[in-house]
Amino acid sequence: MFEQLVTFFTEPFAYGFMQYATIASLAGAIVCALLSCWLVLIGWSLMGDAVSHAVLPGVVLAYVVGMPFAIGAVVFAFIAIWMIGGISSPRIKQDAAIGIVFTTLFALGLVLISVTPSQTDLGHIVFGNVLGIGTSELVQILIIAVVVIAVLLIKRRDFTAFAFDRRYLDTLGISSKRLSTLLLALMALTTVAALQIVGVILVVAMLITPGATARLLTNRFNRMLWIAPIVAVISVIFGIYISFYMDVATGPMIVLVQGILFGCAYTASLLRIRKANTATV
Amino acid sequence: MNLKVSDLNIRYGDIHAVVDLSFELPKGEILAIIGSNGSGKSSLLAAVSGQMFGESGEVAGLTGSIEWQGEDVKLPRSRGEIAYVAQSEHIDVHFPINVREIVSMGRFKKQGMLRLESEADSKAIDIALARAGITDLADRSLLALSGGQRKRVFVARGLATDAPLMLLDEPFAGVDVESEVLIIELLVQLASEGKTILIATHNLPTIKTFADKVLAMKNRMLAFGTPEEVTEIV
Repeated sequence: MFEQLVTFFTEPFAYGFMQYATIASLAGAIVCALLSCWLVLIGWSLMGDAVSHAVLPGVVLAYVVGMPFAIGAVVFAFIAIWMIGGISSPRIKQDAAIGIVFTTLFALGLVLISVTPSQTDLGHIVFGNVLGIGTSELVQILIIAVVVIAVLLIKRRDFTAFAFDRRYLDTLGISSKRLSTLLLALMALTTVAALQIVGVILVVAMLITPGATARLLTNRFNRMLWIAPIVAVISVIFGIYISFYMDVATGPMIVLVQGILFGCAYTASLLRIRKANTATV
Repeated sequence: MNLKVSDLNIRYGDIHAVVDLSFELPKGEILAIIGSNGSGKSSLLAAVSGQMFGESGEVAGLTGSIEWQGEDVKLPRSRGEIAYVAQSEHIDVHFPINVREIVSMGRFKKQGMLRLESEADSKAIDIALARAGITDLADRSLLALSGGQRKRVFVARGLATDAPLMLLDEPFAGVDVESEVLIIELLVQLASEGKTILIATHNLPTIKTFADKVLAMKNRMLAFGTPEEVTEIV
């Protein structure tokens, strides 16, 4: 019985590609989870959706000219943000501008994929292919994760103040515009790490769900920064085991587990509120 | 050093929010800025604090003066010399941080890149909390506070900055009587310690209890002087 249990838990990792997939997924999920704590509080969930889709043409072009994906992604993330800012006006509200820009750039990315001869299937960028991650991709994901986590932790208090009251930072002489730019650059980099795991379409889930789940479970931001990565790690572990034994797609399974955990947290918070209301009555 | 505003003009598109405004306020005095909605009070405070570009004019009296000459704009930075207490309507009261963490933001400019809290910072934060009368609320979130208590939190954040110039935008709006009295007493005390204070307010009846000077404006200056002088004119 014990041996069967050990085999059950260790068997998936007998394969090199599963080890790579697990390490990459953990790194990508943790960095997305940390970033998501700020994104959900700032109200940038839709912006995360836009940036994650808009980087696609940048990634394809970077592939074509042989540059790291991250450079193409960051360039197109800022092109998208610049376009959204330019188009937004009293006639075209920001949500409409975001919708127009990200779908147009996403479509451009799909067109570029369709005309780009490649040895690797660029379609994997759209839907993710965590089981196909090689050494170079893994190294890239780990470097991005380390850099983004380091910057997030160093600028932790500035980003929290930015999310809470960005106007106040300007009165102190701390540029909220610079912090905003830095946060968007981190979002673009994180997207590059995560899109190799779950694909462009599902990246936004990893950029929102862990932070939103943590927010439901605590009223302290410092605790959110622990809870969100824990939620992400649990999702990766369950996602990988379920996908291995049920033979289903790994990236989407990780996102699905995140969604289920959010559902559990949501139910728990509803029950807590109901209990508090009953106690008050 | 006196605070001197000279020929200040602020424009939003076709709207001329502040027109040729000039005045001088001695160090350690409180100026109440009065006027109806849209009269340019908040724009004036935003310009003095360096949040907004003026079209032309100059604000002098800080370590570095802020000067605007048409397109030739030098980005103003307060370098921690201004404590700004904004109207707090835009604040998300559900935000998951407590009162002490909010007040500690006032110390950011005195901390390094990591914003690590030194002993001096902790002391300044404790003093600010105590002077605003919210020490016992330090662990609470904004959601658990009344309107008056919330306003005192932002006043405490301004105090923690320990800046020579303090700007307050409608500090008495939506505030209970207890908080209003406490804020007024605190501001008078701060002025007696040498802080220069600008307050944009609608609260005309109480102005005489704290203001040394009053500026009445409707985009341009209507009157400037002691509360008695201005009340007579307006």
